[in-house]
Amino acid sequence: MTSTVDGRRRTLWTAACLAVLAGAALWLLWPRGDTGPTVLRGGTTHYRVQLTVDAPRAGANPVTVNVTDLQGRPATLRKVTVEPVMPNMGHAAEPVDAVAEGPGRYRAGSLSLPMSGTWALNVLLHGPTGTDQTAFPILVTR
Amino acid sequence: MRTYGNGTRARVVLLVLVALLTLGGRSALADGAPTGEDLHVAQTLGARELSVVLRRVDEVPGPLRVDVLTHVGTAAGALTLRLTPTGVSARADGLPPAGSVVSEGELVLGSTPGSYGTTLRVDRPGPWELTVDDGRRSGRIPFIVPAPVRSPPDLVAYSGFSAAGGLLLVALGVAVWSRRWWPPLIPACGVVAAVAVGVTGASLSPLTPLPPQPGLQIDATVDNVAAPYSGGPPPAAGYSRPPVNMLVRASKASAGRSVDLDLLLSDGSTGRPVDDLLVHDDALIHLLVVSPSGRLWHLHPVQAGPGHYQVSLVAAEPGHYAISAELARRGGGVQLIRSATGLDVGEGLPTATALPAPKGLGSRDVDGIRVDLAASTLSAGVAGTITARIGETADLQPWLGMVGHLIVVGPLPDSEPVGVAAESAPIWSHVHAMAAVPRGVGGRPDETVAAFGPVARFTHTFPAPGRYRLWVQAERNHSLMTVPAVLDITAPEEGGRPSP
Repeated sequence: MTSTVDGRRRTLWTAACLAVLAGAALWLLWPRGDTGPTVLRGGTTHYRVQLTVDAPRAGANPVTVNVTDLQGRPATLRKVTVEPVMPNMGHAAEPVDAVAEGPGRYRAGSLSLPMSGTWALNVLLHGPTGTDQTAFPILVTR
Repeated sequence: MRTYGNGTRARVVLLVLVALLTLGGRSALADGAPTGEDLHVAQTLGARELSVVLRRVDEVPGPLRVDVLTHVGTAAGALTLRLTPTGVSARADGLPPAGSVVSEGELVLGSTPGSYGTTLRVDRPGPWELTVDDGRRSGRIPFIVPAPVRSPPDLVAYSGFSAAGGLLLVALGVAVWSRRWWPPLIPACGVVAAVAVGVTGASLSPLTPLPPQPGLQIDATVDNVAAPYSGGPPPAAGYSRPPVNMLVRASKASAGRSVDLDLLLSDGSTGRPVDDLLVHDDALIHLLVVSPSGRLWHLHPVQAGPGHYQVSLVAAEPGHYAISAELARRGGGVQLIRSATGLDVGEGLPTATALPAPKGLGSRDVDGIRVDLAASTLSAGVAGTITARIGETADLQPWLGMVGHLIVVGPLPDSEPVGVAAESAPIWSHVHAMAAVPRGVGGRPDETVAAFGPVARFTHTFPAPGRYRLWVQAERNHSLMTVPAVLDITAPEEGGRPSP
């Protein structure tokens, strides 16, 4: 009788230990998929700017720039340009004009980043008050 | 067998627990201590030469103390100081957006030289800009508000030892109240495991390489200042950036009148404006200007915009002026940029006169103070020491963090005016006289501490023989002294260092 109880308890403990170990292993080894788009928030004297790059990679990247004024209303700009630069390599890649897609929303379908590394995407906002500029550092790992 | 009752045992255990808890509470106080030091930045704003000191930030959000030190001759008046965060962030934090002014203060400079301060407020870590505005002109000073940071092994060590402490208490509790012998073993095993984790973390901690330094090595964002270890690996090509080209534009210049200089800095590879200068030796740019008769200006242009710096000076005499700039870009390395064009100043006020040719070594009187210049035997290619004794007592103030500065230009032919000769001179050097400056909590003392000197020693190796112009600079009584001199460097004797 006692030995049966002891045996059952031992099985229970073993199962519990295995469950804890399996849980820990799962937690550590859980595959890390795409972290999603890189969204960065910045601003200039006149505008709030949000830049979205869908999973930045070496090659062509779609870039979206959302621009609002300081009160949060969508801003209407004459032109929005994205100039990619690798500051520590001294590389400048071809600038791309973003096309207006909606109120305060500008999209550059294909921004070419020729290699992986740390890039600075300089966003030029040509508006009624002149040209504002801000830079977004992004890390391209793939 | 049992000698003590359960009550006694429980009391002893409780006593031990209390003792452990009080001991354990101590060490945690030092965690997350604020990092960073005072930032000293010299600014030549209009006709004023100011030293702006941004005191270190102890907590965020929290106060930022800004002191502005003035010198003899600095005009009284009001300055507006504005703080703007400049860093992008991946998080929507509800704070005012980057680029907008979040704190503003007014500072009234008195007519006596000294320190004038005000307190502003920072609301987030990351890159910031302080704008110093005199109503006509403004200078932007970039700086980083640090965040308390722990490396991943430190974090593991803290968690391991904290868990070990907690489990130890559990083990003791279980030992007191359990009726069986084995239950205390479970938390005790946990203690062993947690200590192992803690020891591993602690022993890895000193071996962990530092992450890229935001602001100093890589472009800073709010995110990489708050969590520098979660960025990518350091770049394989290193951090250094391309050299800088400098375009000098001057307003119409005539002798005796103020000249405005615009310095446009562009990247030597991309041609883009250089917007990443570091504060080095207490300034963004050290601009040296040499006049036709050998007057020296050592100025600190203010940043008006990306890659655009401004400065003004009163041209003392007509003729051609030589210009050079010392600066450092993010990623490291100080560069000396020699303007190939210089500055031409036309005839102006008749009061503008040339400086007489300076003396060599020996003693002289400068602004009522006795200055003695002496040197060891100086020959080309051999390290020699030039000693300047300024006054009789140790009352020099640290200017740009140094007891003295020595500017060397040469070799100069006698046949040409100094400005023209300096522009094509092969050597421009900037030597510092250091002192054992005591460091406090916020870093080193500012210019209000007059306790250095009176001797400033400069050791320098002149690469080529010939006639050099020297200027020794030191600060005393809140006034910058510039002592010009001429020095002949002989060719190296036999047995000297082999020429390269």
